Amino acid sequence: MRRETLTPRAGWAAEMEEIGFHFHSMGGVYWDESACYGFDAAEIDTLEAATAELHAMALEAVEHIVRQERFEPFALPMAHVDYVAQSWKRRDPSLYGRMDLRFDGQEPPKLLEYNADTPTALLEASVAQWRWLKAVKPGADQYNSIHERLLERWQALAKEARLAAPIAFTCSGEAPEDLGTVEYLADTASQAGLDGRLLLLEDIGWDEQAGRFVDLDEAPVTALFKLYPWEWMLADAFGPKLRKSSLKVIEPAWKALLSNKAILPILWELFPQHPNLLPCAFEPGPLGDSYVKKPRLSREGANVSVVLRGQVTAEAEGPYGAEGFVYQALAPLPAYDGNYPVIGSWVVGDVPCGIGIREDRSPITKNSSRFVPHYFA
Amino acid sequence: MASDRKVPPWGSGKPKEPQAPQAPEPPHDAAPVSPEAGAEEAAKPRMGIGTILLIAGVVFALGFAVWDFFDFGSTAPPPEQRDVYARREECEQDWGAGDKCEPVRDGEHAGRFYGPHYFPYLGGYGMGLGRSSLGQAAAPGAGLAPGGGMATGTVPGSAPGAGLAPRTGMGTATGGGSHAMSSVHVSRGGFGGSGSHFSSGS
Repeated sequence: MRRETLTPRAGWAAEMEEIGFHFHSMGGVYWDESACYGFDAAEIDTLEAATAELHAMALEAVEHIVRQERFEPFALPMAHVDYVAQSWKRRDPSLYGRMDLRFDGQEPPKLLEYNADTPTALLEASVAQWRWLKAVKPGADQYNSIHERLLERWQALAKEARLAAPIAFTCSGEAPEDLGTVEYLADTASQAGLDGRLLLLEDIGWDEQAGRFVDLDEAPVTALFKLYPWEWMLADAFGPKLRKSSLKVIEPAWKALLSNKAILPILWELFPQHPNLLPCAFEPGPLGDSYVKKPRLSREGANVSVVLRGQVTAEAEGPYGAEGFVYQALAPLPAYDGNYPVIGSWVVGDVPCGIGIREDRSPITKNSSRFVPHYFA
Repeated sequence: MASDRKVPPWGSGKPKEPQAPQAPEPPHDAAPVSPEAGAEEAAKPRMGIGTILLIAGVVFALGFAVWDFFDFGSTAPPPEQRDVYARREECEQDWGAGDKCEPVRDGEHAGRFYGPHYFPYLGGYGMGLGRSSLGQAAAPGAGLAPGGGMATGTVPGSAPGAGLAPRTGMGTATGGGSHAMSSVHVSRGGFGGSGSHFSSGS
C-alpha cells in the first residue's frame, strides 16, 4: 500500500458534476485527485477476506444481542426494542453497509466501526473513482464492483422483500452529500427495474384513517429507503406509527444494532483476540491509559477523542455523547506524508465489493475528510 | 476483481433544494380575554365568558400535553384533512374555481380530484359550518382562527395570500351539503425532527 502524488486533471470538476457528484468540493476540498493509493492484488485480497469475515461476525453478534436481549447498551428507546428485534427475527433484508478499517498493507485490517445503517461516500466510491481510474490509470484495476452489486441486490430485494410497489427514497434534505447518495441509490434501483421515487423525509404523511404512510399525492408508501438513522427515526413523532404500519424499510431496523458502536465491545467479547478486531470495552479500564473514546451513536467522527498516556491528544466536536461511550484500543492510523487514510470497505447484501479511502491531516476521520481514489496492479 | 463496465448516466440535475416541512399551528388556541371582561370579573364574583374560554383553552391544552406525555403518537402535527371528489366541478362548488382542486395522479383515488388541505373541526367557534384550508404553500404559522379557526368562508386573522383558501360552499366536511365523496386524514412532518441540524450520513 503506497500513496502517490498526482497532478489533478483539468476539468475534473465538470466530469464529476456530469455523473451527479455535485458535492465534490464541499467544505473546500472533498474529492482529491492530487493523490491516490496503490495496492497490490494480495493486499486487496486481504481486505476482501477480512471484510467478509467481519461482516459474518457482525451478523452473529446481532443474533447474540437479540437472543440474549442485550439491548441496554444500545441506548434505543425501550418502547421500540421489540420492533428492532422482530426485524432481525424476520431477517428483514439489507441493501448495503460500509465498514471502516485501519490498514497499512502490513498488519491485518482492523475494524474501527461498521457504518451499517446510513453509509455515505457511495457515489464517490462506486462511480467517481472508477471514472478517475479509466482516465488516469487505464492499465490498472480497482477493487470496485459496487455499482453492479447494487443493481443485483435491488433485483434480489424485489423478490426477497417483494418490493413491487414504488420505493420512496428519502433523506432529511439538509446535506448535499445525503441528497446525492439518495439520488444515486434511487437511480440504481431504477436501473435494476424497480420504481424508485424521491420523497423528502419531512413530506412523508401518515393517513390516520387508513393506518399507513403516504406520499405527497396521498398514495401509499409501502417501501422506503431512508438515509436517516434508525435511532432518530424511532425517536421522531412518527416513530410509534412504524409498528402500526406494514412499511418495509431499507436499511432494516436491526441495523440500529449493527451501526451502533456498542456492537464493538460485544464483538470483542464474542471473538476475543480476533486479528481483525481491536480490543474494545464499555469502560476505559481494561485498555490502560491509551485508547480512543467514541460516543455510541456518533457519526462522521463527531465527539471522538484520542487519549494517549492519559492525555487527550486529538478531539472532534459534535453533539453526541449523552448516550454513553465505548473505548477502543488505540491503533494509530498509518501516516503517509502527514495524511491518515481510513479504508471504507463496502458490503452489498452480504458480499464485499469495493473500497473507498477517506484521508485527513488529523488522526480522526471526519465528514470534512477528503476522498482519495485508489487502484491496484 | 472489478472488470471493465459501462457506467450509465444518472443524476443530471442539481440536488433538490430542501423544502420546508409543513408545520401548521394546532387549531386549539385559547381565546383571548378582553380587558373589559377582566374588569367586570373584578366587580362580580362569577366567571365571565372570557374566563370560561380561558379555562377551557387551558384544559384543552393540558389534554394535549397529557396525550403527548403518554406517547400516543400525537406529537405529530394534528392531522390535516382533504376531501375527495368524483368530478372537478363538484370540488369547485365547495372550494371555488382556481387552483384549489387538483387531479389525483396515483393511489386508490386516481382519476378523482382532491380539494385543498384543511384541519377538521376540533371545537370552539364556528360549529363546523365551514372549514379553513391550509394549502401546500401556506406560510408557517399563518395562523388559524382562535378557538379552532373554523369560521365560515375566509379565516379571521389570516393575511391575504397567506395560503388559506376560503371555502365557498356551505357543507360540512363530509356531508351536510358538501359534494365530497370522502375525506383523507393526513399529518406530515412527523419524521425528520431528530436530525434536522445534522447530516444523516456516516
